[in-house]
Amino acid sequence: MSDDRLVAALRAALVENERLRNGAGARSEPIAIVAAACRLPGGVRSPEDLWELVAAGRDAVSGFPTDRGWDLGALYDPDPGAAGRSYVREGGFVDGAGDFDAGFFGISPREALAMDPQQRLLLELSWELVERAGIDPTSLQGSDTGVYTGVMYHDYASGLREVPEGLEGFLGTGNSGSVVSGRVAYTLGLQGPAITVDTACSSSLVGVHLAARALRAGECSLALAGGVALLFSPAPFVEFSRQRGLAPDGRCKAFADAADGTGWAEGAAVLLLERLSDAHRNGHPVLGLVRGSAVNQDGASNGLTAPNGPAQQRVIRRALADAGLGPADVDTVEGHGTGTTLGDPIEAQALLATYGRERPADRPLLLGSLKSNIGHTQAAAGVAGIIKILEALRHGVLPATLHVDRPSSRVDWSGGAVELLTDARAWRRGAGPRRAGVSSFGVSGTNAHVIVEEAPPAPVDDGPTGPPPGTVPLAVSGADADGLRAQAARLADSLDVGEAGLADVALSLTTTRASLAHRAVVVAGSRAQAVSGLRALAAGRPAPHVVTGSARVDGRIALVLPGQGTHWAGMGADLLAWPRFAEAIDEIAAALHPHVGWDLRAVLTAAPDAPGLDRVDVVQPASFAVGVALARLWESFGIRPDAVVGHSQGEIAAATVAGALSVADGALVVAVRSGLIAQTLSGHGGMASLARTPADVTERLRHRAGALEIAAVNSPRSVVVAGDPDAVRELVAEVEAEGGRARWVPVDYASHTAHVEKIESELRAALAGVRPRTSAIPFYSTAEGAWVDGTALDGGYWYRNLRRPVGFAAATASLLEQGFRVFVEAGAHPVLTGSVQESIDGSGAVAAVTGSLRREDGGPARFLTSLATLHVHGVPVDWSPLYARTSTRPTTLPTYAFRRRRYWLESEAFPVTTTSGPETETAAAETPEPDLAALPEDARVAALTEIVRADAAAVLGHSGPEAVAPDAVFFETGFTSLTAVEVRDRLAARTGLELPSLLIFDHPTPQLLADHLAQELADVRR
Amino acid sequence: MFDVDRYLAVLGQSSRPEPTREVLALLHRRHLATLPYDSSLNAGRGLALWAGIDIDVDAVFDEIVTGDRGGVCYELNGLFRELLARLGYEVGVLAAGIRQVDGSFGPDLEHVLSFARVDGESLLVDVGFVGPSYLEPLRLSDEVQHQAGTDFRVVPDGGYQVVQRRGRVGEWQPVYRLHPRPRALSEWRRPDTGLEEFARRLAGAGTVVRGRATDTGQKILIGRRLLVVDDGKDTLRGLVTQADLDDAVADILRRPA
Repeated sequence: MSDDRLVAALRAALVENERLRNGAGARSEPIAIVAAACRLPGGVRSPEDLWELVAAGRDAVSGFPTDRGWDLGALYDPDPGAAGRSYVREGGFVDGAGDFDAGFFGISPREALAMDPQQRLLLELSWELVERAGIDPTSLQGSDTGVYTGVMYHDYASGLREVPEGLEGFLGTGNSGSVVSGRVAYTLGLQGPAITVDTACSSSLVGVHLAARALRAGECSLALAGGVALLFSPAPFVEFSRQRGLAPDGRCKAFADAADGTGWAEGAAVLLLERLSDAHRNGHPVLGLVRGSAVNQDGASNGLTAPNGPAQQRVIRRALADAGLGPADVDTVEGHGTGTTLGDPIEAQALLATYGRERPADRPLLLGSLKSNIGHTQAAAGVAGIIKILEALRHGVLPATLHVDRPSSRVDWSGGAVELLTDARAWRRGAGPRRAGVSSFGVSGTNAHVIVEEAPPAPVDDGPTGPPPGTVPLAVSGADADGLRAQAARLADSLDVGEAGLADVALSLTTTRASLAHRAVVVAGSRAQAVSGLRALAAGRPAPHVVTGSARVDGRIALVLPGQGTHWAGMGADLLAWPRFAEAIDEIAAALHPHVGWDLRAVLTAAPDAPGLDRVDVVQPASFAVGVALARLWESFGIRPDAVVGHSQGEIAAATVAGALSVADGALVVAVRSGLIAQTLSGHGGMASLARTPADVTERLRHRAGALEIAAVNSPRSVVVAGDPDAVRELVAEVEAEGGRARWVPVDYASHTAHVEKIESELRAALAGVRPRTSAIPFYSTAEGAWVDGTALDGGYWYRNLRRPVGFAAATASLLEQGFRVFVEAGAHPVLTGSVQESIDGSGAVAAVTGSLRREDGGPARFLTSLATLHVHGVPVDWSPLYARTSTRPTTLPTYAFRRRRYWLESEAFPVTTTSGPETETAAAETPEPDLAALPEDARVAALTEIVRADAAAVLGHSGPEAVAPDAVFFETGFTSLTAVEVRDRLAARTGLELPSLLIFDHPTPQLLADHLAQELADVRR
Repeated sequence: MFDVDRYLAVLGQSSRPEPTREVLALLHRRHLATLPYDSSLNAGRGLALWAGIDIDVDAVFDEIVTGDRGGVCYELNGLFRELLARLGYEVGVLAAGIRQVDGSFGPDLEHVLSFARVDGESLLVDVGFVGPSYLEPLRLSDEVQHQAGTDFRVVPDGGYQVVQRRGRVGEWQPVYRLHPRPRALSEWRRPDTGLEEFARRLAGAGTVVRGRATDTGQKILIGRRLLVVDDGKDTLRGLVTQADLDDAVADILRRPA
């Protein structure tokens, strides 16, 4: 073998080794749990709630629910032999199991009613789960995220005798097990595997196992894994009563001598899983690791449903092997522990035979079961157990298992070192990380065991450490206006009690939450300002530096550079602290330096020795500088214009922003030209702006020919004239006498008139060296009324720009026609936004317009508010420059405040056979008529509010009352005089009151109207 | 005491103008923008809504023109008619039935307005109507007359002349209908069951209506619904809070908020 070939062979072997190592690494890589979410009995709505419950040793088992049409009277019989009856009358139930925010997910009330509540619960929980990981759920759209969902009940709609009207067509997908995971994938746009798992009570743990495997195999990069079980009928109680498998008191007495059967419960629990290296790289929180897992089957055991001890031992050993660990490396096991007299001893013996051996006697395996607190949550049980373990790791405490009189005497506890957690114990780290095993055994024989390990230390944060910004935008959003307000309230609450830095919260709001359609931004310089702004938002009150809007604007962005009239002493000074702005100012200052005898920074900060802005040769270059620097600032926040347009002298800044003029040439043009104006034209003219149409002004100028000219047409009813001062004065007086608005422009020369012809040759000569280039951004000329290539913007153009009238209205109209929908005025004070708005209104386009700074309000708060104005209208803003180089980091935020309503198909009462129609909450049909007189005052107003909403929604043609919020203003939700009368007619018919046709003119919201109707009804009765 | 010069000063005129068509238009506009419509006084009048139709011009002048209250149709139009007559215009009384929210028209004598005869042509003159309506006198013609972004025309329909309005968006909408013949104020003193029934329903509703014109349109507050007409564009807003309502009332009645 030659040397070359040897080297090549060695290299190939090294590559192969590397490949194998990577492969092996991927196969054994720990899977990070980056978020958890749950709904469990006892009102548990989060992992934190679950911890409170288990830490306090609470028992969450309660009486049967009264809201599901179960015939509770006929159901109970203490005799286990009584057919069709249950000898148990307690269980663990999820509060509001039928409640759902259908509108949020774009699901109609009708479809929501037909949908299995397990699907609905999983949708909300999945959204919340992703949010809890600090991931904007909409950002997963199109990703290879997987969904693994355990489901074992499929009987939501099975009790229906006949399909209620309008539900046909929804019941199929609405009640299919496969759609539980599929709908989550569909709604969030996830393209990894979506698999519904039914291995009965081990479903969710099997889901975790499959998800971990898929992550390691690279089938997906993120996975939602969990399970859900809701009890739609009491059949499971009846069925297990016959088998005498239930504890008469509904409590799981796990591994206790007193164990007398299991207790059924409901729940939903999900985890978000990611490869550990990805989680670290993506900066996601790591709550714990799935270190190893295994799944197997009982096989031909003692009976189909009987547990199989040897199979359980095997699944535990395999999980340990998968994790590369021995029994002594695990501190505790969250047992299946359902409290049955048959199953618990088999499980305990299997644990004794595995974890109980091969470990020091003074470090026994600690055994517990969450089922003793909340009952057996079946398809959700395994993941609920993992969530308990994650919280126990966080708090360093292993909570007590309830209802243990003494360890079961059916178990030979001397066979190994296993001890029951009859009391809470501190959970300290030994030689290695703390670990727990979690078991679930399905009734069909499928066993699962997962080994959870505490999170490794987070990578060192070596990010930037500069001070966080003092003023920040707090962006909140909702799928509808109510959701937005509820979200603002949640955030205010969390800021009231939380300790997270305000900038951290602001950053997290824009990076870890979805920007939904209804948006608001509170710009705040302090926590108090933030809270008061959010409270105002929650109450629907306007407040300073709070902007709201809905994301309806979609189109190209035009940057508008204004001409005269934006300046004020100190403009731009408060933004010099922002590097991007200061850099631009300094660049322009250097470019101006050869042409002017003053310093730009001194002028902007109104330094005592600096010349004032009353000089035309100062104010024009200074306004140019602020315009260009603001444009750079907008661009740094992601607002990159698709076109620039300038007004009068603003075209010089526009050409510079567009790249047609270098900064040096832009500075030359503005300095030389304003210098000539100051020398030659100043003192000989005047200008005025009139609120009149161009036609009207043209007519008025006819007999003033020579004295006045139209200098600019800003909007269909705003025109600027210029010329001899006396003529301007006379015209202003004439318009004012008619009651019209007329305003002097504070200049003493007449741009855009024959006056400027005096300086034509001198100007052309002075600008002969200007070298225009093709612009990077299209330039719409208001002097030519057309798109102009950058190379045309030579000295001659800058004379024409001064001589010709400014066709700003035509430019705006043309841009609107060409699909521009965002207009940003880059100036120290908005002078053109009003004109642009008028043009927008005239065009009927949905567009957004904003200025940048305002007079005496020119700091970060105002600029951020202007950015926020675009954001709330749907224009994407990149907020990151605000936090660059600072110690700002993502933090925990409240999750979305779902606006839930109840949707529940009442199944046939069980076991008594009576038919009952569905309880339609889908409004527009017929709202049930409550007996108003029988209700107490509060309830009467509430009932009336519902009636008003339903009628209003029906008149407007909405499918349900949720379309008309209680505080929606009728005339802002599409009412006309005629439909107002229709609502009056309906309400008059319902209440028997004589109601005026102007009813909703006086009582403008459903709530106010309901208050009024309640008062009227009370008066009638008196 | 009725005083032509003070009246003109309130309307922004420093001297007595000639009775031309242009002056009439200017005074009409100014009147609508200066002296608001306010139906709240009707609340104290029970069903006798038209009892004071033959106004005491001196007393009402003191209350409205130099005082600070708004007025109802026959007060505002009564005062303006007096002014126009003293400036040398030929004027008279008209009556109209207003288009109601349900699309029907009120009784023929519901609303009191005026006409003025200039250059041999009769013009509708109405400074006592909350609107939305015309800001300058209207010719009785089916030709489109354009005012402040809004189109108007007067079209014959079943023996009536119907004043119609069309904003920048939307269809022609009737404002009110009238028989273009001069009325005598004594006509309102005859018993009229239609009018009484109408008054009864109005009194039952108790909705207060207020309005004033602006340079470019009108602001009309009906109950808590604020309609702003600006250059022919209508914007509706419900005033939910008392503060918003107070602000709107103060703005319309030109009182400090």
